[in-house]
Order: sequence, then structure tokens, then C-alpha cells
Amino acid sequence: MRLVWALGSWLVLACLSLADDVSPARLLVAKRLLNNMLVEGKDLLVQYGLYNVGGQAGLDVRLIDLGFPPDDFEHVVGEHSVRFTAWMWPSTLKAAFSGGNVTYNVVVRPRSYGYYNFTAAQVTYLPTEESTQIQVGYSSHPGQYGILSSKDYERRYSPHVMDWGAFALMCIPTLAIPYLLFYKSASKYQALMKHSKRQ
Amino acid sequence: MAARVYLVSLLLPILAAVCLGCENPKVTPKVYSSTDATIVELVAFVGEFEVLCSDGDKNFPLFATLNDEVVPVTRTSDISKYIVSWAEEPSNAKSGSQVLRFFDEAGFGVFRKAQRAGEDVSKISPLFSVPLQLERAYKGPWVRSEFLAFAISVIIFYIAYSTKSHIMS
Repeated sequence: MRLVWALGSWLVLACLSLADDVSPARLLVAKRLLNNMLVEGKDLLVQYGLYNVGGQAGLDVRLIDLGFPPDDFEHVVGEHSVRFTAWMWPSTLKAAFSGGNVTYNVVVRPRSYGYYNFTAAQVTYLPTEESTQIQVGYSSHPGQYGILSSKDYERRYSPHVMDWGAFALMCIPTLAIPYLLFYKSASKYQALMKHSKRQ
Repeated sequence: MAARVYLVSLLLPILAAVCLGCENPKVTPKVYSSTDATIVELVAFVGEFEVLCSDGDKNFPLFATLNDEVVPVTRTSDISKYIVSWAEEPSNAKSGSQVLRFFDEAGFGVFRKAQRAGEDVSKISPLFSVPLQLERAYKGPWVRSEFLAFAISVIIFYIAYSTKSHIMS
């Protein structure tokens, strides 16, 4: 009986120590530009992916991105300073967030063209429910991208409907005038031929 | 006496939960969805929702679902707005009439419970719903204008050449 008690208490202690060993939340943050091409004045989609590879839920997760100054980028939708409400989530959802992932998207428009260095966003969070020290992390760094000027983009990739329309209009006189001249003389000869056949 | 105190202490969290709920929410949405998919890998939807409760409560969590799937909700740092966003492949992007349903903590608990049990979650009434009309993003012209111009010029040449051959014969 004593042996059973000893074994039982050892198992309970082992389980408790295992529970204590659950690693704190560890967030990996990816900052991605979802565009194939960056164009002045056109929408630039930025996605932040937060992946928790830790054992516990990250609490009071905040993301700040100062990489889009208003002088260089027009803000379209989404905020550059947000908080993820994981700490408010119910326990079932907390468990889902721990080890899971969350994405967040922002849309901006570049105001000018040229090369631009896209820097990392900053993320802060509490790695455990008990911790009081804020963990600071940084997202991946997209790096330098070339932003195409809107004029260059239009020249290279637009369907040029107006240009082709103007070209077609300019082609019309060179095709229509000879055809009309031919049609006039042809109809004249056909009328003469019909007349001679009747005689 | 002790029993009464115990009963009150039991009821307090329930009362608090009832009082914390947002009553008569007034929602001001600002919705964006990608309309041009020619220069992007994925098309995005971003919705900003300002929610005003009649009791002035601002600090409450919200959960959103679209087509009975949970979509992440973030908040601005000053907790004034809720933001819902997703990005997807242009070919698989959601379009047409959609309804974004928002739940408070209690409502979302019921939603998750029903979802786990395999019950019909569409019957669960949300705190508020936002109808969306999502248009398909433009993926570029079907035919390149250069090809179209070439095809038209070939047709004109064919007509001219066949007419000439007809006259000559």
C-alpha cells in the first residue's frame, strides 16, 4: 500500500513538474509584401503573420510598424499600430492561439518611385500569464524593393486601348480612301459591262 | 448570513458578465477589398469597424465569423476600432454577398460549443452583422491588346487580299 502511495505521489509530482516546464509564448513575426510589383500610387498590400511556436498563449500582443511614414506612403486602410486580443480570448481560444497563427493586413500606396528599404515591424507581448516583463521582438525584414513610377507602369503594362484606338483612327484614311476610289471605279466599270452585255 | 454572502459572490461574476455586454451597438464600417489583382499575389479584404455601445463601453472583445469560419479580429492601439482582414488567392477569393457576423465573448462561447458539437451555427444570433458585397478583383484583360491589334490587321489583310484575287480572276 505504501508503495502504491509513493508511486502515485511521484506520478503527481512528475505531472506537476511537466506542467511547469511548458515553455513561454514565443512569437515569430513575418512581414510580407503581397505585391508582384510595387507601383507609385497603386495599392501595396502588407501582411503580418504572427506564429506562436511557444507552449503558452502570448498575451497583450501589440504590433507597431513605423516603416510607412506618411510622407512616403498614403494610408488606405488598416492601422500600423494594433493589438491582438489574445489575452481577452476564452481559454479554449487561448489554446488555439498558442501554437497557431494570426495574420493581419494593411494597405498603403507609395507616393513616389525609386528604391525603398522596407524595415521590420516591432512586436511586444507578455510571454506567460504570470510575467510582468514585456518581451520585445521584431518581424522579418522585407528589404529593399524598387517602386515603379506610374508613367513607366502605364507604358509597360497598361492595355494601351487609347493608343491602339488612335492608331486605328489614323489607319482608316490610308485604307478607306484607296478602297473608296477602287469601289467607285469598279462600280463604274461593272455598270458599263452590264450596259454593253445588254446591247 | 455566510450562505447569502456566498450566493452573492457566486452571482457577482454572472451579473458582471451580463453588465459587460455591449447593448444596442452602432457600427460604422470602413471596408476595403482589392479591386485590381494584376500586381498582387493575393487579394486582401480589410474592414475597420467602429462600435459604439449605448452604455459607452469600449473595452470588450469581439469575435468575427464569415461563412461559419472564425476570422481574426485585431484592434487599433487606442481600442477605438476593430479590424478584420484576410488575404487569399485571386482565383479562390470570396465574392458576392457575404455576411460578417460579430459575437461578444458569451456569444462566441456558444458558437464554439455548437461548432464542436456539429450543430447548425447559423441559427446563433450574433451581436451584430455586417453585410458585405465583395466584387471580383480585376485580373487583367482576357486578350492582350497587341494580339487583338495583330488579329484585326490579319483579318483586314485577308479581306483585302481575297477581294483583290477575286477581281483579278
